[in-house]
Amino acid sequence: MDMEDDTVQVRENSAEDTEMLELPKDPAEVKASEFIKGESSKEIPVESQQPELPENVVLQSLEKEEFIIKLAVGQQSEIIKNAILDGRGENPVPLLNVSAPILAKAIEFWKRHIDAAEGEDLTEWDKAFLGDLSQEVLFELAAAANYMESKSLLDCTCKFIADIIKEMKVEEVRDYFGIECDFTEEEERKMREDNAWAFEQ
Amino acid sequence: MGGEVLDERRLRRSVSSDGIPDVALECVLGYVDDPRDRDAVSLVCRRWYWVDALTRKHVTVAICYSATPGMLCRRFNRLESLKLKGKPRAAMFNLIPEDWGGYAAPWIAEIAVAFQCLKSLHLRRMIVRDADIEVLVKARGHMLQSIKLDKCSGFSTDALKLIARSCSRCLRTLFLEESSITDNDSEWLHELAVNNTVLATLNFYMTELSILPKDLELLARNCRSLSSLKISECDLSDLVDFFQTATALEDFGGGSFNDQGETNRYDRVIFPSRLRCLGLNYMGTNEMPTIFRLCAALKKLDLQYTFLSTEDHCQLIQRCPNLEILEVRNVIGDRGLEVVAETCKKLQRLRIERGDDEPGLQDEQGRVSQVGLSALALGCPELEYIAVYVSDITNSALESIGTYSKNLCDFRLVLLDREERVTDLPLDNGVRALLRGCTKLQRFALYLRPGGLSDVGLSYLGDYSNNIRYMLLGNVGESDLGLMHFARGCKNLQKLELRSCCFSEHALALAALKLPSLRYLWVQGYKASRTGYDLMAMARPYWNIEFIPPRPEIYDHATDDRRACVDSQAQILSYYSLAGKRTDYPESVIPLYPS
Repeated sequence: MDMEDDTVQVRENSAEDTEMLELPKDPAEVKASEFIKGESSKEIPVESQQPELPENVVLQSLEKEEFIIKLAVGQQSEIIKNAILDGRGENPVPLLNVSAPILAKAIEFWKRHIDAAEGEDLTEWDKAFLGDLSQEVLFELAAAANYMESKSLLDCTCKFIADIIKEMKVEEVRDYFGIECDFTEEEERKMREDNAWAFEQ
Repeated sequence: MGGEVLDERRLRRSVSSDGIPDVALECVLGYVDDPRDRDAVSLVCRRWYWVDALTRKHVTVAICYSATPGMLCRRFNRLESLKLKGKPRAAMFNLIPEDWGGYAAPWIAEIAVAFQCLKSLHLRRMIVRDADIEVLVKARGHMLQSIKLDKCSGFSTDALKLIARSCSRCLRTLFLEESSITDNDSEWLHELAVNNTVLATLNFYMTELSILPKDLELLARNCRSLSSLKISECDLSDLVDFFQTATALEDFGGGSFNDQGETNRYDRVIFPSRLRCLGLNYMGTNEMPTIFRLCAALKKLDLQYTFLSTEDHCQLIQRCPNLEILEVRNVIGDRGLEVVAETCKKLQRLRIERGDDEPGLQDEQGRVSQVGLSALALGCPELEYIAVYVSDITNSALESIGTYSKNLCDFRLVLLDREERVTDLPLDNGVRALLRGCTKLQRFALYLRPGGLSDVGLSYLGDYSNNIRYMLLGNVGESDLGLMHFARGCKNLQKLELRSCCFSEHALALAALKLPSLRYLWVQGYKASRTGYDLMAMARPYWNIEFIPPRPEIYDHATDDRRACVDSQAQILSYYSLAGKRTDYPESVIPLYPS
């Protein structure tokens, strides 16, 4: 008999769009260029209609502690970015779900990433940065990254934790995270069988 | 991939006793994809079980009778991707009655009402009716990105028309390879071309559908992302315009040279420059030059349905240093394999199918043996998958593979029946060396002849198959003792197929009980008892036992007597099931347990 293939086919991942929000053009700039396109070569003064973007941003943690950072650093969080660009004049930006120590860590991460040279590989730095954190802080940072909609920080922390979990047996995961198993013996046995029998490993 | 919390943005701070915020756990688990990691995660504690259930994106149900659709839904109702397998693998060799089962209807009914997030459905070896497709696309057509009806049967081109109309917004993949489809007309392809603009993969290879080349051209014009196309037979000279339009095409299969020899019919055929994967039917020596231009960049080449000689293979493969996947018939010969070993250093997958058995049609040099295999092992260290029909074999060739093919995950060897004498049997030591050396091996098939593997060799299979999850064994071992020793090992073996063996029913039942991870067993060709009730030794809760009585009416295609004899013999199919006894047994299948 033949050994015709029965390999599991690789499923396609749906592509994640990572669109960078573009900063709206400075209205002064737009008007000037329109005029230049025309026949007149005279310079025409233009009045700006919007307040300029601030150089620094103030963030406010859960405890109302304030952190001052550069605009570019804060833009790695969609929440912060939107608060500023929406011109709501929300300065300081309230981040009520993030405690001060966690916010400090997020800022440290963003700073390092914005300061990176073009094409610089930060994998080692990321690993060391996250490796220094306690488990509790790690998970809090992931939650905060999700709340603040910071994709780079979220990807990084989640992948780091996921890599720890991978290849671990059930008992090892419990040990590592200090989790108590709350299944009865019977339930656990049934679930192991459930997994093994029906749903392909 | 993960990153996004399930639905709404939530300011939850809910945290359980282990101090991990729910939100964080959901995010993290989104990055855990491997099914085995997911299984471990789901067993940690109740909360993790439920977070896994909510965030698991893909599930494969290895045999559709192992669980009910309701069970799947109760646990994983946010599934985005589902793969279901129906008929046993042996169905691909016409060994399973057509009405055995594997009906998609109950699953599709559940999908229509319950699985709100489903984007991808893959059905393999199942019976799918037009009415089922109608239910599916009515409920999920607006979301489905991928539909694969893979070696399925029971539907017609009317179903394809429905898909073309209802899934026009999102459908990126439509895969129908080797399905038996009733061909009413070719309108489905026209509808697809007119309604869809995002299609990237279309495959109706090895179906008997007839289509109009101009509809393919229209498809290429409207679907600018079309990167993979595999079609049923269509002469390549009719595809000139299509190839000119489909500039994004990277993968093409099917299409044929219906005219061979002296002809300028194919002069105008120019393949798109991005093509990296190619398989053309009936290509002969004279037609080879049409693809020379592409060879240097080719990653995948399928020559299984060509008319090339051994020498042709050598000439062609010499030009393809970047090949990662190669599929050929054994006409490639040892000489061709030596060229592969010298040239294709990046080769990952190699399949060598059997050629025609009839004398006169064979190429004299078209034999693959230990010579070619040894060269391959030495020359292609990246190999992960080898499937080969050999005419001759030695222990040292298998030892070479064990020594050099360290990346091997999947190894399948069939020893052809043609030659009277094989150089070096039994293969006990070679098999042991291969298993010990190839530590990543997960799938393994060995189909030999009596004397090919002794009981000692069979015990090696048990002792050294640490990570192997699937095995097909044919004509191995000498007695029940060998099987018993085998069953004491194989600690990760989940799926076992046995053919043409000398084991008794009773021994088979005991082996099934012993193998610690076994959840699927298929056997054909064994020492049957008079009543068949020795099998009941393996009866236990959640273990279905099906018996397919001998079918003398099976027409034997093979010329080999031994093989023909086995085709019509009784079969045992046994598998773990949470769903209990099937409700759709046909007459050709007897449920032994539960009865």
